[in-house]
Amino acid sequence: MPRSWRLLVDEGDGRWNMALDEAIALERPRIGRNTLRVYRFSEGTVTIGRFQRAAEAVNLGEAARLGIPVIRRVTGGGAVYHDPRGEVTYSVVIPERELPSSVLDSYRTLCSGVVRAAEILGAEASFSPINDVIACGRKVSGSAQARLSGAVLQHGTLMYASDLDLLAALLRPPREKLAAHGASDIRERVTTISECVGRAVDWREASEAVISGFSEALDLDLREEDPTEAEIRTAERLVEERYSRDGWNLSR
Amino acid sequence: MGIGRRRIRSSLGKTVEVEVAVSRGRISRALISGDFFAFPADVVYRLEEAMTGLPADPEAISRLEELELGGELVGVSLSDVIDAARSALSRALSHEGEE
Repeated sequence: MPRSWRLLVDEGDGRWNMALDEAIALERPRIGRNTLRVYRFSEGTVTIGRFQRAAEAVNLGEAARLGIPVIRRVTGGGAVYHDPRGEVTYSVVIPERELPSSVLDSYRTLCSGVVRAAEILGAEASFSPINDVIACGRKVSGSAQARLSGAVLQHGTLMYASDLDLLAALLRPPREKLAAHGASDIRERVTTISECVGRAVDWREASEAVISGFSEALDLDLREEDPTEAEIRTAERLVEERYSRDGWNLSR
Repeated sequence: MGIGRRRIRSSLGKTVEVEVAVSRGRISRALISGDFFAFPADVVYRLEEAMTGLPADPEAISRLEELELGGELVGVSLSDVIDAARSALSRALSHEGEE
């Protein structure tokens, strides 16, 4: 029998998006249900992993010149450029006990929703450990987890039409990492669903594929709802105390 | 005071960088950064605290292998972090007195 989850579909700026994801995880014990959130960024935004040094991971001069905010995530992992017209972003909040105990297996389980979404859009896709999904031999999706008081937050991307030249100009991957992936340039390591399948995929089609992808891969019965008042209050507090502060965003 | 940094790429493709500052024969500051994961995040802060105040001696850093992490690093191993820290320390020591 399919499992009943909440579905949230919305749009916000980077601070709000990161705050709401964290708030859903923190409120999970009171909500008592799992959540799939599918959202987009209202403006171009860079997020960085919790443990990254902002100046190492991001070309901060270029970001400032273009007015692109840089937000530190509560999750680990690497830097991401979120394109408001090219990326579907998702988050899942689920208790730790409902996932495989191995972190690698838990990524594989949840990333199966993204793999399925890419397949629905016509791409041959596969999970690439630890936390990527590849299509046409290149990365189209990255995900990141945090574990907060018994709940797992995993959020991630599906690039359907991201501006990859802008992405390459904003992010500074370490040389060692590029060598490990066998590519000399970040631009050669990533692609979009549109580029991969050879036709223009839009937000509507891509976001519906992400919803169907998770529903099919995890056997979910999704009911669209709004965030609770407690989630919104917590998210507002997190924007104020954390995600709008340099003391958090640029702390390393 | 000397400052040293060293970045290591793990076999899983993630990177970790350790920066240490050495002052009067001790590690006065340690920063562990990179695109790895830690569950809970405190594991990283705990490691930084454990490094801070240690004698500026690679042997002291090696003993962190026995530290109770209270969690899990994913993408890099504790050995990767310790290797990077030892290497950062030796760079810090070779720079000491330059500033």
